[in-house]
Amino acid sequence: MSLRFLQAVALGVALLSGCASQPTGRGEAPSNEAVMAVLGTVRALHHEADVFESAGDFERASDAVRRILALQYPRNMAEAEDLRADAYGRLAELALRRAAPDEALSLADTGLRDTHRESVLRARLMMVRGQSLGALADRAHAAADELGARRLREQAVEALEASIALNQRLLQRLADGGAP
Amino acid sequence: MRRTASAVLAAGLLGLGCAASPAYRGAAPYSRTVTVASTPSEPSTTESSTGYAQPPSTAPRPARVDRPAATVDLDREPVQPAPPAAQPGSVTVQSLSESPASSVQGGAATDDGERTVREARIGAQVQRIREEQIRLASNPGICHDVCFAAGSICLAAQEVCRLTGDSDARCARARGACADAGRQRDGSCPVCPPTR
Repeated sequence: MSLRFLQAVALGVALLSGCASQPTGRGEAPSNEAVMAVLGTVRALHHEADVFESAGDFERASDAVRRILALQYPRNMAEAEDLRADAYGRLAELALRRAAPDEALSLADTGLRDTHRESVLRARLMMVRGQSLGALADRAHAAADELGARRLREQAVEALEASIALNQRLLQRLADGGAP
Repeated sequence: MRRTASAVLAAGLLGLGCAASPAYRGAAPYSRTVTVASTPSEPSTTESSTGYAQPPSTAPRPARVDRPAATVDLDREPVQPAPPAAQPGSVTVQSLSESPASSVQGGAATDDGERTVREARIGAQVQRIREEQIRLASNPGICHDVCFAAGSICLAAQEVCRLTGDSDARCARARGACADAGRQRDGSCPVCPPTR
């Protein structure tokens, strides 16, 4: 477990200690314990995926990341959208590494539908979408489908340019001192 | 308060997930290198401090820490070389090489006072850089996003150029965005948070 995570946990516990006894009801933020449990589980599953990915086992790495998406997130957990967007992005990248651009494109599109906040995670989903379309364009070109290849290539570049534009806006916001 | 704490933890977690992405792990607008320009007889050393890969489509502009010129009056004490960046990561320290009389030529005597001023100026710059690094290290969430966004822009630019060809205007525009993002990142986050 990384030192940074331990520091974050320590800081989180310190901050939570002042409000751990707040009641939780419908429409309110989930309990601290529930949030901590979900965050810890997500982290563990990303670690598991790291282990498999570093061994070249992209299938089992993908299985670990899919379990993140299958988690029951506490109601009104603000971080859930980002956690899911991150998981969709990683899953799509793993699909690309498995030479499965169709699946990667589908995962990226699902992630984009599931994510509404402008963030680096949404920009990453756009980028993976572009990479997937690029790979599909290559496939069409290899199959002598030049028209399809050109259309897919154009869509890919559009998605990539959209990703660049979003990241530029986020960088500008960060430079201006705001949240991304 | 609870949301703040959760955000801190989520940032740590996303740091893990995002960090696994090539956008963070594999590409940076510029290599995080510190090149120590040596005298001709010495081999140059290049350190890659955080293991960032260099996208082939972008020309590196490594931060340089220039040692004082080799033409030093032998009657004087050797000028202390500017220390390389003490912390890992790239540090742009142009001001070190811009300090007055960094090159002492023709054996002209420079008095001790001038040297003291110069060294104090260098020391102040190094101190400022260290303080900035500490400040940034205390806010890894922002630098994570900055580094991730900049890396993503360059990865996307690389793919745009692969699809359009190097001579295409869209490739040139994407490369420009990559270069801008690199400058912006270097300006706000001299050190990217570790990926693990």
